[in-house]
Amino acid sequence: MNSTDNARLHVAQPDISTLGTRLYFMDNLRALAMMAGVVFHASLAHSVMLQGIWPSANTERSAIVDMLAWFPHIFRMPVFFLIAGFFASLLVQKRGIGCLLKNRALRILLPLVIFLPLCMWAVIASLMNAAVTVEHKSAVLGMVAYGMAHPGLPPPPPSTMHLWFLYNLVFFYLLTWTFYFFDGSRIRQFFMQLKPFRFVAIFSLLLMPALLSQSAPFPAPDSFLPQLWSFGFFGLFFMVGYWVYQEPGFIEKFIPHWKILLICSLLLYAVFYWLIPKEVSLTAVPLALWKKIIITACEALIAVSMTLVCLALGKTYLNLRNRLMRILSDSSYWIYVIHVPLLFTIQYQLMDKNWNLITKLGVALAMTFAIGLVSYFVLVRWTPIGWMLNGKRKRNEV
Amino acid sequence: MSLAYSNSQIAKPETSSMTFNFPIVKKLVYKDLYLIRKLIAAYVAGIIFSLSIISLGEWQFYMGAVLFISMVVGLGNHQLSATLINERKEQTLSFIMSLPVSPTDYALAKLLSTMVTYFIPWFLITVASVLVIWLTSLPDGLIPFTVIVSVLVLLNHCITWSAAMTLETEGAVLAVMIGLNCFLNPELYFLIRVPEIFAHINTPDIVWAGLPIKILLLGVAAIVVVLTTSFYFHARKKSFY
Repeated sequence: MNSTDNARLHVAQPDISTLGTRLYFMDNLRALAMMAGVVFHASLAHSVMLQGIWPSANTERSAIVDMLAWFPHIFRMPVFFLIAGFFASLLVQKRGIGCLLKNRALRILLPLVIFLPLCMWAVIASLMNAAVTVEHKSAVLGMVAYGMAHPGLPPPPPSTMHLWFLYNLVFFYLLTWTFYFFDGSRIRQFFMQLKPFRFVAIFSLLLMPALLSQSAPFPAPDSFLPQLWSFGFFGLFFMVGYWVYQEPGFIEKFIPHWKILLICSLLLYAVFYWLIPKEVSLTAVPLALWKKIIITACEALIAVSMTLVCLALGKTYLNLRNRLMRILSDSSYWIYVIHVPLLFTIQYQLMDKNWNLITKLGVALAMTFAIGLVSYFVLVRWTPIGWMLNGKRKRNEV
Repeated sequence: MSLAYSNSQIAKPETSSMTFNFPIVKKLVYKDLYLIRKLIAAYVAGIIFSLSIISLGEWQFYMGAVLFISMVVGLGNHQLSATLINERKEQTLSFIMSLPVSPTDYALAKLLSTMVTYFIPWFLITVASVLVIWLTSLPDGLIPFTVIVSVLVLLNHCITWSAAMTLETEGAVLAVMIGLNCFLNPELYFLIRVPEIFAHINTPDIVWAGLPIKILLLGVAAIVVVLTTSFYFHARKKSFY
């Protein structure tokens, strides 16, 4: 199978000038989405909402942290999956579907297989150590300590943890292969040629069934059983990203509207935050139907609008080729993969410190990024780990 | 798909000993894989969908599990129908007979293409199912039952392949498919009532000892016997029919 028979591919030809060049704004945007994930996970230690279920939940907590953290949570992974779909489409166009599967097996499946057990071991080891050593225990640490004192209790079900995005991507790439053989050009053309605000409304409506099936804010689909709602939410962003590559001019369509979309998103977020339960537990709190529908509509509209805002702003301001952004984009994958065990270990050490929230959060973030970056340069950048995550690079590459 | 051959690739169909013309076998296998690629893609999507509804709840678990088994069985039957039965219906076999292909090459090509396209997804699905049961809150006691059901489904596929190679009419092959599918339900019914399986299916214990391992080995042995006998019979034939 080769990529020359475009009649069979049922895809429009993208601007040929993009094929040979690096798409800096997409790379940079993806890196920022991943870094936002690190900041989000660090801030959850100081969240009021998650104090009952977050292992490194700290005694220093504030509702302001929740207010600031949950907003990017709604769109950072949608942005990431849209970009993943975009690059999948690029790879199919450049090298064919077979190459996409081979490439993604190396960049996504292999890191998942290698790093998931390691991360799981690191998280469990640090959790068990913290359950013994930390004095001001979180609710989760307290439960772990109780479990250790009373052997025989069933262990929690294993999950794909923060690497759920890799696990889900594996399914999305498989589905890319299956849909590759079927002509979806009419649906694509209809969908991608909608006027900006009509697109936002219809896309949000399509996301609502998946979001309605989940609690708010939506959880991570980190189970080993594939989650149907993830296909209906993140999968749709992936599909739109796949189509965005085939529709030159799609992102530009939203550039004049980014301010309106941003303002609407902030207003919707105010409603969303006002209505959601102020404490998240393992068993979702049942909500009145009207409340659930409003929350879900807000969530879907924010996810779509802010994803488009990110794309528009990225295309306008992030199409940069500079050393800092390149290092950030190259190291972001590695930092994201290792950040959860690292962050937990650091935050467990900070739990008994009598510091204020900003200092604790700042120290945890600074140390995570510093260790992540140093380990990237020492262990990853020029080693087979780097080849696996980012591909082989030349020594003289900037 | 090019079916052009060099002189060195041309076989001697009249040879009585069981020799293979591997370049031609390879081309025939690729031809089959190419023709059924969309079919496999559709079933893979169906299998992912069935897996994704398993975790939604109790009745969704049963629906997903039934859909999952149906997809695996459907993939096998549909694939045999597309590669073997349609080949006769649409006169493609007559075309293949005009090529320098011996019945032995043809039998080997069919064995490889149908088994590769079925065995690889079947193997991945079986391993994935076992991992899902093992890694999630589902009781691990389900694992022997799942593996045996998978082997029985594979055995059914091998019997259907054998029938499709032997029987010349579409109706007869369909009758075999329907018959085997009808037998699958009683097989599941009796399997779940095997004391070693029944006693542990809702527990975290994986028990193979006793009847479960015997049924599994019997299933594997039956697969080997069906495939080798059928292949040997067809490979020794002097003509395609």
